Amino acid sequence: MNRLMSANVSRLIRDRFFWICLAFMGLVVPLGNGIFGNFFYALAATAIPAAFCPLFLGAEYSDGTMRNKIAMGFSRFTVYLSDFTVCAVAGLLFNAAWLAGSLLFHRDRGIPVDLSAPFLLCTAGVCLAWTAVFALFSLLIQSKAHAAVICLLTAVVTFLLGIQLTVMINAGADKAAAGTNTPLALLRDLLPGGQAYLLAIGDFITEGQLIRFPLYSLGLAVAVTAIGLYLFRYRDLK
Amino acid sequence: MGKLLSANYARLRRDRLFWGLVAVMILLGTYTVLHRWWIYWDLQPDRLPQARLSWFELFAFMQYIGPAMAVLTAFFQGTEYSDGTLRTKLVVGCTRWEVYLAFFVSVAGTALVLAFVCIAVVLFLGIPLLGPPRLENIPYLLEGLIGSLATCLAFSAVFTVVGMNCSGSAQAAVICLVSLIAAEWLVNYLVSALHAPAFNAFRNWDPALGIYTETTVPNPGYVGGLRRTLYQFLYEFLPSGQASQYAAMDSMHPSRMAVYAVLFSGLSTMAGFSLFRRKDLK
Repeated sequence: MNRLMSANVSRLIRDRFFWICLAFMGLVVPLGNGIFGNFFYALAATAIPAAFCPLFLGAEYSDGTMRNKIAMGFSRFTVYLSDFTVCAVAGLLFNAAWLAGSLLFHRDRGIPVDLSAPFLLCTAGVCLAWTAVFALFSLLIQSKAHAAVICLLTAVVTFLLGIQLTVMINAGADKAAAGTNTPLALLRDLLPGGQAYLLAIGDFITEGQLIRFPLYSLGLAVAVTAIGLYLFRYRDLK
Repeated sequence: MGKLLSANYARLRRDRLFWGLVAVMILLGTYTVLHRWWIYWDLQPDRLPQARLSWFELFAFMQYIGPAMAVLTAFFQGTEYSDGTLRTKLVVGCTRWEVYLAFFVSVAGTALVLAFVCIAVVLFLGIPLLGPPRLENIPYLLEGLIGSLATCLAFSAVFTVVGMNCSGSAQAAVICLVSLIAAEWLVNYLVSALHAPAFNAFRNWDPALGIYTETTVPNPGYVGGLRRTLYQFLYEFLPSGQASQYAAMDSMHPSRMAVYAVLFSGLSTMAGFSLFRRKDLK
């Protein structure tokens, strides 16, 4: 597992697209936030991992690395886990780059909620949840292009779903407190896209939600990874 | 050139993604008409006999033609690079311009087919269920139709630039979709900026007089002057902006947008081909 991880990490460091994404999250997105608003962050936090994961993990299929790893005797469990971990690390680095860039450019504003531990946990949680989903798609779909399209479309659709659910919740609830307890609200809070949208606009978050979001994200990440591990065991790898 | 086009056409006919998108367009047209009919039937059943097919149903495909073309173009280029098909085409004697143009024409043709499928389904289902469009609206609808087809052309042109110059369908797919997302997001921002009202009205309760008085103050968020012109121009020039206008019936100038779309196609094709001409095809 250590060897797999170090191989993945060294490949990550040498990946040009990784540095492009990192620069984008660290420089362009905070600047965009200043001009266009925090919505930009939510979209970038969704689209950048969706673009990066399939290309990074899909290269293992096209280069034959995946087949070599299995042939060398590493269990499928270890391979999946190490690939997911390196993607999670990349996602968290993107998040950290955005936070660093935001602090640099917008000391007085920019981040919608305080730079407190719950908010940091929430953004990290969203990152982790998204990465789990994208890693599942990228490792189960053996064509880089198909995985990329499915990841990007899933990201966009889930994000739009989050917005739509928020609109429906806010339109239907008479009292703001009641709005956060309905089944629709639960669905919206579970979806990483919904969480990202709420974190971006920063308006409708209650204390309870800030605590629940990382738990939901963690739960989603664990569940999705478990499904991915199970499916990966039986996948016919060409 | 004719042989290139027929080769592309043969590939398209067997392409599962193309037929999948045709099915999606049929479903979309059906859903749009049925949804509108159900709203009438549910909320205003007595007005149903006077209902008419409107702009929204006819141009529903404009919301989805952007993503559809992004995905289709990225995969249509397929394995031409890695299989060496592209190199073979050039070796056999086709010029780079012919190859590029054949790709663009095929992709644009696909966009038009998808558009027509959706419009046909809407007309086929909509006229019996909702009634034909009002006679006085028909010239405007036709103008919008020409404009929306021009927008499909513009989408095809810009995605052709990516498709022909990226040496892998994964790369092409990512670039097409990410730039589409960025463009859609930008258009969203432009729309909200352009729709900010010039004045905000506040009602104040005057306890002395016992009435409401209204004060109007200028809205600081209003976008005016040069910025407004720029935003309006971008909104009408970008294909995503045009698509959003047709889908939401926000367009006041379909003919102007058609000209912009053709201009956009021309500029994209020139840029794309100048890149393709110098590309080193291994």
